Amino acid sequence: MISDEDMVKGCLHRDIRSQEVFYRRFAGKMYGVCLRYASNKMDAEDILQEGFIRAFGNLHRFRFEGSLEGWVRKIMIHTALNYYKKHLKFLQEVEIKEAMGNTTLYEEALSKLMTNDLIMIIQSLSPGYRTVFNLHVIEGYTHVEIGLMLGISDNTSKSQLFRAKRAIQKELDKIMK
Amino acid sequence: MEENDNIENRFRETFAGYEAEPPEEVWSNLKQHLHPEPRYQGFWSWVADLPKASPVFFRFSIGLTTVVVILFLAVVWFASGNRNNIRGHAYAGEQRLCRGTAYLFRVDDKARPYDSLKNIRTCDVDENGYYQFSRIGSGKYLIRISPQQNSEGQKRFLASWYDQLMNPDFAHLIQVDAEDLTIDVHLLPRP
Repeated sequence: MISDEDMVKGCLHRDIRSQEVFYRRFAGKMYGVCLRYASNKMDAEDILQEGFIRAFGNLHRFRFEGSLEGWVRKIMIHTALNYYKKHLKFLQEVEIKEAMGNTTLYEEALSKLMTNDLIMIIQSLSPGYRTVFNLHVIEGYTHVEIGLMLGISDNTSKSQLFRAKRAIQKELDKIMK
Repeated sequence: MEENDNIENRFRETFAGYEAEPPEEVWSNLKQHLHPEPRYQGFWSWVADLPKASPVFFRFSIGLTTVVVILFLAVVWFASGNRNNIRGHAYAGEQRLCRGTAYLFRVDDKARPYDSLKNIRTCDVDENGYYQFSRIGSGKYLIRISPQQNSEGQKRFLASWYDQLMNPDFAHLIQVDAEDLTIDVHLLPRP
């Protein structure tokens, strides 16, 4: 198996075989990332392609100081954020206690759902909710970091996350019924 | 808040290391973007791309182009018909004139006196009285020869039109068509 360093060198020389190895090595995981940030599969494919174009174009900047996969993942996330930039609308902050609605017993539903169902639930969220939910829950960014990335306050980020989870609860309720 | 934590945990566990197989079209499109098929965009883009081709091909193209241009110019030169010569000797009496100047005039008029007398070429007459006008096109011409200034010839002979004439209206017309001509010009002695 070709090492990351040789693969990157090949890609920098525009060697198509190295580029294909690079793509095949990361395409699956990155497509998984894109599916979570996109509204549908077609958008996810566009983001994946655009993300790889940006990755190949910026590969000379990768200094092997961290994991290559992590570097590619960051590029994919930023590509996805740019893709939906126009649609990223963040509502005013809300008091979380106030916004807390009735909760339903949906643990059973959660346990029954397949991965594809969860993907569909995420994709059904508005771009703003979906982005904050992904960044905080899946990628592990703090609200302060998310605020800096999206140009919003950390309280707005918290509020968006709360709304996102409430929207997910509603979806789960529907499934339970 | 417990339910919310359950949601977070469920999604976090599900998508940690989650992979999905993208359609093969994504790689096809990406490959096409990274290595677009070369397509013909016209002559000038071909010229602009020449240096990007191999140096051998580039040198070969330049060499071939030069040969083609030279061949083309040669064909044009041969086709132009300007390849006749007028040559001869200038005589001062019985002797050949020693140095002077020969003038070639083109005549476009049909009747004398000529209005369109136009000096188109000048050449030296050497010490043997020899002169030559090369690569002359078809047409009608007059020749005038004058001896070198302050020479023995100038003291004894006048500048004269072909042949031994003072006035161009009476000079002999020289018709150049498709062959070389030898025209000997005799100068008019001073009175």
